[in-house]
Amino acid sequence: MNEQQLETTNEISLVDLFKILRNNILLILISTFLIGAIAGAYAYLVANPKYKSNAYVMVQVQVTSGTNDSFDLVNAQRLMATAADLISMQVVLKEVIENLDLSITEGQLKSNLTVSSSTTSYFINVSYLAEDPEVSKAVVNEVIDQAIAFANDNVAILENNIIRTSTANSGVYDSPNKVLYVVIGLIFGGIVGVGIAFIKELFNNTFRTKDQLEAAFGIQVLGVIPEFEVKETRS
Amino acid sequence: MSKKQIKLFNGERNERYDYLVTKEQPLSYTAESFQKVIINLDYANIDGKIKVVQFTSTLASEGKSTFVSNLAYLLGQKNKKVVLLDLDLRKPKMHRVFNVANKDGLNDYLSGKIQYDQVIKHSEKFDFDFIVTGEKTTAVVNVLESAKMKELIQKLRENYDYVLLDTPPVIAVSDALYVARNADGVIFIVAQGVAKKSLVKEAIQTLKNNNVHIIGTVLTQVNLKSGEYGYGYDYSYKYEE
Repeated sequence: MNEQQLETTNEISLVDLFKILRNNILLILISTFLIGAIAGAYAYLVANPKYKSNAYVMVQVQVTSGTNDSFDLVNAQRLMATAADLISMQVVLKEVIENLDLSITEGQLKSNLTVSSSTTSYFINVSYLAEDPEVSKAVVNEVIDQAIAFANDNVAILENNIIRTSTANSGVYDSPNKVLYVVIGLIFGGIVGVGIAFIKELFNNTFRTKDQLEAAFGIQVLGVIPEFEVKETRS
Repeated sequence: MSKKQIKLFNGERNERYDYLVTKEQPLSYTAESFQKVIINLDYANIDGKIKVVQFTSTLASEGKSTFVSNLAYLLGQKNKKVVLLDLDLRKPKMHRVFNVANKDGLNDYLSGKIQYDQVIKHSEKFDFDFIVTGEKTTAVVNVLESAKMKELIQKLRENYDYVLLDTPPVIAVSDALYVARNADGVIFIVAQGVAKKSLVKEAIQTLKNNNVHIIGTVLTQVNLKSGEYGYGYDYSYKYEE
């Protein structure tokens, strides 16, 4: 076998890749739909649905006319951040758990609680994810109540400045995103299938071509006989 | 998917050993492939020293009998005097190619029950001579090793252009090695995607260790549709019926 032949054997062209895929199309399809189905089954049957409630509070920022504007802005921003942080503080959450008689830790409560404020408004959004839409609603409301109470009692700069602007409703369905799970499952399944196909091809340890046979033994390959079908003779 | 096709194909083939594709579809691509083997064999045998050719493979069902019977037919068509011997005494199937009963064969001749003239049969349909295994024997190795066997092949060698020997696969039993002592060379059949490379290597190494001359290999049951083959194959003509 000369060098040129060696080169052609080792090269994998796009056509070869396509052929590998085509030969393993069944495997790829099975993998795609199997993993898609598993993801779907998980999303629809296994995963606990979570519901999200949210409510807004507004932080009232004192605007005194005549003072330096930039100072006001910095202060306002700090106040917003302080209020937002306060809402998810342990002191607040502890009260919430006690009042609602929840059987979770403050850490767990905090991990499902989202407090977000925007830089362009004075509103703070409080949301909570729970498996029970009613719990979700209650937690949001209680968190806001406790935060306001704590602020009024203990934080001078926030005293009477946090105002509830909306009340949480019963949680709405949030996760899992079933369609997304299935789509990701299908895509992942396809990738796994293609991966297996290539690995299979890589580790294919039977002789598939004349070149392989010739290279392995250095014995002349006298011929390549294709499969054939028995055709009934027309008489 | 390709495996399924091979299985389907095998099922068909097992039922129809008497169907020689080179005869029934002489213009097919498959028949052309057989012709190429004969041309290559001619080149390999340029001195004409190779007369007794043995056929074996790694495992069973790699297409030995199909290959050897088609080859015999084509050689016969080229006005060569050909005799085909079924030396797979454990699983004989050559009689199925010719649709005859497996009697009055090799074992009967070796045990002296019939004469040389009786053991050689002629197929009108395919126009070449053949010898079936005949009566079943348990002393396979003894038969293959026997002096009378050697004499028979010697006699055939004198009377024919080609003596083709169909033998069992190498990995399962050592029969092929005993037969090889009487043969000028071995053509080793490898079916696409059947035997693991390591197993084929072991089989060929076994033959080499026993100083068997391997004339060449043949890749059979190649799935052209799968596209794993055919690519880069320097054959652009395809005859359709």
